[in-house]
Amino acid sequence: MAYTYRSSIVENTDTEPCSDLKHAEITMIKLICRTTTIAIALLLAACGGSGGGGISEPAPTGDTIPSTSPSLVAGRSNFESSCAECHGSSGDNIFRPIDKDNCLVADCSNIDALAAYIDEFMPVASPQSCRLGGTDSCAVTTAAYIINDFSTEAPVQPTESPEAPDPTTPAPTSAPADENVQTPLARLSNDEFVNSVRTLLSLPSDSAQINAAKTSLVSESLVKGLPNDSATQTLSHQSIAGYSTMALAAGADFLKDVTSRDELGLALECSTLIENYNPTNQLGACTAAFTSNLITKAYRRPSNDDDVANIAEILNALDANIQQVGIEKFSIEYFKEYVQSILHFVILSPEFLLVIENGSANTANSSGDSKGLTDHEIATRMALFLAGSLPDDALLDAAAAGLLGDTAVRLQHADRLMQSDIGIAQFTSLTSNWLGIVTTDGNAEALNAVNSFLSNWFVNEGNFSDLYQAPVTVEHLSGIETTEPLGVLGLQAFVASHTSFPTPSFITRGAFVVERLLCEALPEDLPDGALDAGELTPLEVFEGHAQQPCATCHRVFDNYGAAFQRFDAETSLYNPGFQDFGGSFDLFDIGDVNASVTGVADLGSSLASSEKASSCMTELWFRHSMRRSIDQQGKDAHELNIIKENWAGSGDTSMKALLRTIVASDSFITLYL
Amino acid sequence: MNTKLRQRRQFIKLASGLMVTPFASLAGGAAFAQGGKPPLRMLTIIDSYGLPVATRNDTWVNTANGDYRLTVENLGSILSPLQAYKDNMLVVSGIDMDSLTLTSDTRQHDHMTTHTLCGSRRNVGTSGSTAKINHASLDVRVGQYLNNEYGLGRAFPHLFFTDYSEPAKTTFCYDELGNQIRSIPGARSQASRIFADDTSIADLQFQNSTKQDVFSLVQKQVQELRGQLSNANATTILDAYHSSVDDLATQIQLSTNNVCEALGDVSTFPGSIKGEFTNNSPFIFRNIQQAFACDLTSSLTYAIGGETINQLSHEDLYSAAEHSDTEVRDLLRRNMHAISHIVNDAANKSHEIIRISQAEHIANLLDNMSVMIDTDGNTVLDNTVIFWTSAMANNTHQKNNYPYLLIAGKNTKLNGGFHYDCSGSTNNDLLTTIAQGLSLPDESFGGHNKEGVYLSNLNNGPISRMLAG
Repeated sequence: MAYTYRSSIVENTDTEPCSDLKHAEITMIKLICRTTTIAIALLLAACGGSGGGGISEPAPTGDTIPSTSPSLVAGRSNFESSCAECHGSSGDNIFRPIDKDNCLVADCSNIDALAAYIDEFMPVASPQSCRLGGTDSCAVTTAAYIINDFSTEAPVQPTESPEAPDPTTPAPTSAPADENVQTPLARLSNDEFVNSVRTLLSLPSDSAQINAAKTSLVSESLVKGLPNDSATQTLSHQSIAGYSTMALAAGADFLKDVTSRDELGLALECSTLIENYNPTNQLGACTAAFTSNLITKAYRRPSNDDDVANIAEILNALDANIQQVGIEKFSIEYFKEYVQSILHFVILSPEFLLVIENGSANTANSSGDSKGLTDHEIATRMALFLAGSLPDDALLDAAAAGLLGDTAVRLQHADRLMQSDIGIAQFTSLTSNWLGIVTTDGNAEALNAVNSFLSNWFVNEGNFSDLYQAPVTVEHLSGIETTEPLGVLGLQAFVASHTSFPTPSFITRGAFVVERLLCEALPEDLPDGALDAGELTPLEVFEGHAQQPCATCHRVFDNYGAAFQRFDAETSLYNPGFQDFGGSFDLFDIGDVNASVTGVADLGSSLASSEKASSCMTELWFRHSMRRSIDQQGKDAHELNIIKENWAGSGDTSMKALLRTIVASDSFITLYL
Repeated sequence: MNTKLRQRRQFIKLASGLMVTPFASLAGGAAFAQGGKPPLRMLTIIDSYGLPVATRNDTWVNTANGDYRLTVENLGSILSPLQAYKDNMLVVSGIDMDSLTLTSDTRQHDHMTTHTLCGSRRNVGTSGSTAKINHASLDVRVGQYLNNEYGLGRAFPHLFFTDYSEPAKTTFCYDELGNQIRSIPGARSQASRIFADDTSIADLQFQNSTKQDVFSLVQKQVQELRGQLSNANATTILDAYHSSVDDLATQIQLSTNNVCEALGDVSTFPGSIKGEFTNNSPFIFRNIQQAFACDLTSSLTYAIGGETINQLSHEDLYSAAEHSDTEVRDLLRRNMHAISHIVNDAANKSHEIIRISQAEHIANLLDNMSVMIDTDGNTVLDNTVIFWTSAMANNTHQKNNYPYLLIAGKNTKLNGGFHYDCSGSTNNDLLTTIAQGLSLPDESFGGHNKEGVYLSNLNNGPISRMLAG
């Protein structure tokens, strides 16, 4: 299989974060100093360990954590080295203050959320260089320092909890073992929420009202590229306001062409009944049928008497309110308000927004420490996993018929979903996020190239190795174009998304490859010192890192990034002759990756044939299916190994084969206790 | 009004009275609200005659010291009533209007009005309803954009209030096609047009009532679910769910019942006037307040005194106890345009008194906006940029060194708390900066001459140090 995608590097638009400030111009010396300190921050991140679990927010103690607490000392050090230059030593820089009690850009309500933000976006000059990991990781200690030392409210102490509950509220002090459900209660990610609203009401993807309302959704943290990790999901009145706005917009769009009872009947798919509406029957057969279908879809379960009672309450409340505006009861305006209120309620409902998995002890795969998911829960998991949306009618029918415990039936539906437009879009979007593609300000052509690459790879069932080795067209500094076997590593949007300044790109690129593409934790050793500040070129930094004490950590990832040297930001374009770091680099041994490389092609070749890399891909999709981090010490490890073996044993290394393997696994239909 | 609402209302009023610095929590910074975009707004207030050159440094701020942090001490007498908002002020100096966008005749009132909010010159030889320009003025552009982006349901993308209509003149506000927008002159017309039958308010209250009913039912459902899901993880999440809905419901309840009210019998409001400023202004400022409180508009422009020039008289502002100079009183009896053509100490003092009065009205409006709860839970002031500008730079109708004041809510992208010496930047750059401060994607604004030709030297991009993030 061959792919041909244009690749050129977008001009590096990263700017020094304070460069626009007349009062805080940064000198070249500071730039180099920052380069060094950011490198230190990266090294500090290395101390975070594998980061297998999230950090829960403990209950406020009411006591200040001693400033000598190791985590706060480390956090202060991180802050002073990487944050204070812009934010001020006390977070009081006049241009970039950290108003910890009124934190607006990031979520400062708890350490988890703030750490996730730092992990993804800070420092501005070198995002993803202060990473999330264990309690002593750079992002967590820095977040703890900010929240503890800057806050006027009761401070909080970071603690480690692999199964972190929602961090918006204090963690429980204890939980009975039989209640410790491994899959926590998660909510829909923003994309899943929007897709689900559209699916629920069959709204088009280009709905102006939906697209406008999307801007009201609160942004969410990505955990290793995934937005659905329950450990970092939060709820606030602002997020509820966003969902409310979306619900109202969806209702308005759904009813936008309705001006008569006939048209309302068409919208509700029951026009005759609307015409025969009986005012003495408050719900009426038509709206009752509509509501029942709506709830079954939205809640992913059959509707029941409680649902009917709730809807009746809406009607009663509406009857009381319409007098305010003179709406005549049973008029078309009345019915529209009625339907609008139902939609508002259903979309705001916890049963729509949350992914509730209770399981059933009566399933074949239930045992002492596990319960099988119900058919409707399996349908929901499949739909969200493969389409990022609600189960469609076919899945709901299969669930109602009790068929989804059958592996063959699940695979039939999986194949159907993976072939659908929404399934392809889901795969492309999720993989793009995982690859760290920055979509906010990149150029459209480059982003389209990545999306085309990923969707073609998925649809055409390319091998796993194609991700890193498929031929792509790259543009050289000279202007010529050639086809090179670089896979996604050679695409402009990928390289540009991992280009940094002033931190040399080889550091951030290398760390990304090691941590994200190989799922390997960065090293834990702390440096004893740092390079002297000065005007260092990337090559000088690279060579300096080869010396101790820097080499202790940097040897792990620098060479992975150095493989991208021909894509260095200054060259702008792929340039095979541009090798200022030397001829070849020995990659640090990570799993079965052990090679000497001269460029991206060699690196791609190593990744393409690496069991470690394909294993990392398996972990990504397993995490996605479970909506949480992997418990490397528990059942997850065992289940994951089975999936890896089955995928490898299938003889088909395509992504569809991987997703089919996950859907077919016992873990996919089981709730571990 | 039920007891619960009344108690909340009293609390709000008490809090307002005690609040010395409504922006105290801002700590001098500006940033976006967490995650979702806040429902931003713009309020533009225009006077005609800028500031007298001779007293500018004393009554406004000292413009000779470059950029600096604003303090209570360095605010002059005109800005002093607004000192509670100093951390959100952007006092901008040093910007001249470019002659290429001004007409060469002597009708400064006409051409400078256009330039102030458009940054371009209207086509020559026409006036009144036939005057056109190449694009929308900033206030209208902002209103349209914000209404599309955030203002689902806002009735008016843009409102244009004034005291007196002058249909034969060129004015400030232009729609997307470059046509002049006529103002709504006088408090009575404004109230009648917008609030007369209270329909808008009733609709808003109805919508919010139905929201509250839905929220109550959602909370009930959350509670039921909490009873079914007994594990600790589910309990914590559902508790957060419940409290988040409760917070939102409370805020909407506050915004509905504590701020947005009917204005009463608007037939008693003063109509279009050229008369005393202080008779009309409390009503117009109240109309402005209600337009925001009821979430009716994304951008509102108030041209004080008239669509092009301020012809109000201000005798009632004269206090013999404060001003022994009867010449000042005599000047205040005359309309402000007459004062603007006199250059002496008494005229300067008269000008200062009038502008202080304007500032006091604005300060009172800001106080009220600072306790209005917006739909996103922030205050309306948090989400608003106030642009107090002028048709001309100074009382002698010159175009050099305009006195601009911006007051930026914390959810906008403008860096408050500073005097900015923007010598070398253009009015177009400032308009671009304001646009970006309100999240518009514009990289330039205006810059066309009378033939509609784009003058590339006028747009240098936003003034980046005024922008946060």
